[in-house]
Amino acid sequence: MSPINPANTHQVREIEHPVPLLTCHYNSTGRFVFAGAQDSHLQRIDVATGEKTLLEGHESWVCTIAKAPDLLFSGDYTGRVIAWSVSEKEVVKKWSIEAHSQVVRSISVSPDGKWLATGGRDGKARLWSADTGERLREFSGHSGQIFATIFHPDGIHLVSAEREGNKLFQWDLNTGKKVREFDAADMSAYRRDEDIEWGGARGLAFDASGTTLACCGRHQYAGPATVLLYDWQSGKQTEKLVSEFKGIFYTLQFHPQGFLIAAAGDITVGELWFWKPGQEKALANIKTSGPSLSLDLHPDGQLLAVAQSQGGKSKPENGSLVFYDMRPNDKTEKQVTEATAKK
Amino acid sequence: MLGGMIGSLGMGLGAYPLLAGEVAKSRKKLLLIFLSGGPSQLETWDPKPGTKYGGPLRAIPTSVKGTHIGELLPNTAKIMHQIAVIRSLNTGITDHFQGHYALQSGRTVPGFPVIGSAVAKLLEQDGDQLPGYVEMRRDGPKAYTDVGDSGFLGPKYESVKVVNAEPPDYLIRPDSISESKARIVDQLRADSDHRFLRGRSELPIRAYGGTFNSAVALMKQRGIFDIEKESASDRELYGSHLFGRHCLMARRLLENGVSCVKVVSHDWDAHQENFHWHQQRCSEFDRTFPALVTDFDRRGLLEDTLVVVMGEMGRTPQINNRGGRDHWGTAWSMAMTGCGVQRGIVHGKTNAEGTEVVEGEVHAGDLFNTFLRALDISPGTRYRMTGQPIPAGDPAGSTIREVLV
Repeated sequence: MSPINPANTHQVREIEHPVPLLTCHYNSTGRFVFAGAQDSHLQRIDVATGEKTLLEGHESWVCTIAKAPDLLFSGDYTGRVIAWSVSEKEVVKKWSIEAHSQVVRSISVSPDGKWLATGGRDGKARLWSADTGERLREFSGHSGQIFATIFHPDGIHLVSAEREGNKLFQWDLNTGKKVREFDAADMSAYRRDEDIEWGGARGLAFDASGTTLACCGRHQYAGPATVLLYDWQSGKQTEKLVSEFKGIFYTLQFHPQGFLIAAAGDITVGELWFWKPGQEKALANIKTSGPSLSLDLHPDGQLLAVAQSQGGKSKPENGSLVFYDMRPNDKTEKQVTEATAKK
Repeated sequence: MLGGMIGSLGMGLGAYPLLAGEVAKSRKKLLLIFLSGGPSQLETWDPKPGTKYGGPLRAIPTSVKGTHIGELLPNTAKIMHQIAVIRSLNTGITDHFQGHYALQSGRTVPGFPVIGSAVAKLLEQDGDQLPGYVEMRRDGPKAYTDVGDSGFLGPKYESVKVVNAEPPDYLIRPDSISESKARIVDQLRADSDHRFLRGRSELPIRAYGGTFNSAVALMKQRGIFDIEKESASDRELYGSHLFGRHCLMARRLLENGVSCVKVVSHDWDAHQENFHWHQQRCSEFDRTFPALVTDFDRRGLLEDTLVVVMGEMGRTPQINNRGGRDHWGTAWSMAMTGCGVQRGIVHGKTNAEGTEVVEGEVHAGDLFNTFLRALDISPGTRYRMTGQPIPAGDPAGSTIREVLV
């Protein structure tokens, strides 16, 4: 892959959806995007044609999706997680479990694809067999809802982040015990007037080597959207990347070339921000056509899919899956669509 | 010190022994649980799962066949046969301050007493020494919960404030004033009153003196605010969170003769992440409210206590871009139980998407009048404070007969 310059990022395609989208994930080839929205279905969207396939099984909003090589996992507001066997030809439900009471906020998959971790409204993180859905471990200690989980690339540690407590917990997968805490107080936007935590962590990501942990959310009451970086070895916070966007970073990913991509949203507006760890100044930021709640990087590392809500003033009328290209803007949408279809 | 008490306790409480439980039991009482900020009807009493604005949460069956409420209230669902729900409030108010005032006074014109002060006045009996109206809230800056209390009824019927489950601090004599000095000052005050009485109307002056006596009496009775005197099992039953402790203190005060206690549950103003927010708030509410209703029922308190659960408004069916619901006064819900209330019923109905009331519309004045009726007070009862008789209830409002026994 030739070097990517995030400053080139531009919108190339938009697929509308009748209700706001909440989460999205490419399949392993990039031909499809799986998406969850403010309805009760997992959607498989053919990127080239825009054709949608409803995958039934959920009874509430699908708010989190994760993938293993041949499996995809979706979680909803009822606490249900469904595993899907995914191929280019078909998607078949493999198993379905009641993973948490009421809401599964986060699903992540271990580097070897054998395990998945979930975090939920009940403040528990849980470890499951990806193959069978059997519960293997429970991690207790958070005082609030868990909004994000992520496996360390070493495959033996899990990190979880809660909405209220402003701490990240590191867990040993073998023992189920908490190893240490990471201070995420900079993510707090507590308002004593209202006794409400407006901030809190929303997303987690590791770089490819596992030396840097990133946590995103919001700092201070009215923003800005912020990313905290930690050195994995020392457990110390090394950087605070503060955007100029008054809102929340809902999700973030490391690009294979080492820079971070974070998606933000607030009332009627959204942005994508790009940072290189070690550089306080962002590489780039672009406005999105609506609040951006989730993003996923295409397997080719050049395209982004972003789940958004659209329309209305403060109250969105619908949603859209929007695609961005990080290559120079010298291709038409038609060419991009054709290129994506070929892949 | 006493001045501080007088400001809150008002005047004219008379020098009689405090009411004991048995005496107080025969009197109607009001417990107002105010969900400040405006809870979402769609996540509580009037769920619309699977509809355009229904949100991600489910409805669950309740102990009343055919009636469902939000899944965040599983314990409350088990006691639905004990409560009445009104799903058809149309107050048209989307402002916190106006909503707090209108829902508690039944009026939009300023100056009227809120229900707590009204009840303190209308249920007042000779010999009362405890304040008629106690309000409990958490510490914090003044907010839209502070909309004034007694209106034209005057300071006597203002609420005594309990903050963070602590008794008012002025119930303890400061160390700098010895007991003997306090006695001397009070005697001086009494002597002056006696002298001032000559050739004048007795009533105001006796009322003034009575206030001091009551203040002293309440200082001796400040233990009624001490929930540590309740059993460990009762403290566990109500929960150790502030709302739970306030509700237990409310029981203690009502049992000891306070006519109205208002417990404020804060932070229902879920403009952002409404569903997350309601999970938090409903969790606390659902921990304590069903326990309270069951406990009140077991103790016989529901027979003479009206328990009202409401906020100042509902929340928009439409979900905003932050995942929140905004202010909404057009079609929303509340609940009540206890004396005078038909239990296990749902009054009124909203349309499929929850955007309009389609049956049994209720306004703020109707609610206020209904509260009075449930307490055996005619809404037509007149205050005679300033020579001009003023009806206690809203003359333009009705009584919701369907929710009364």
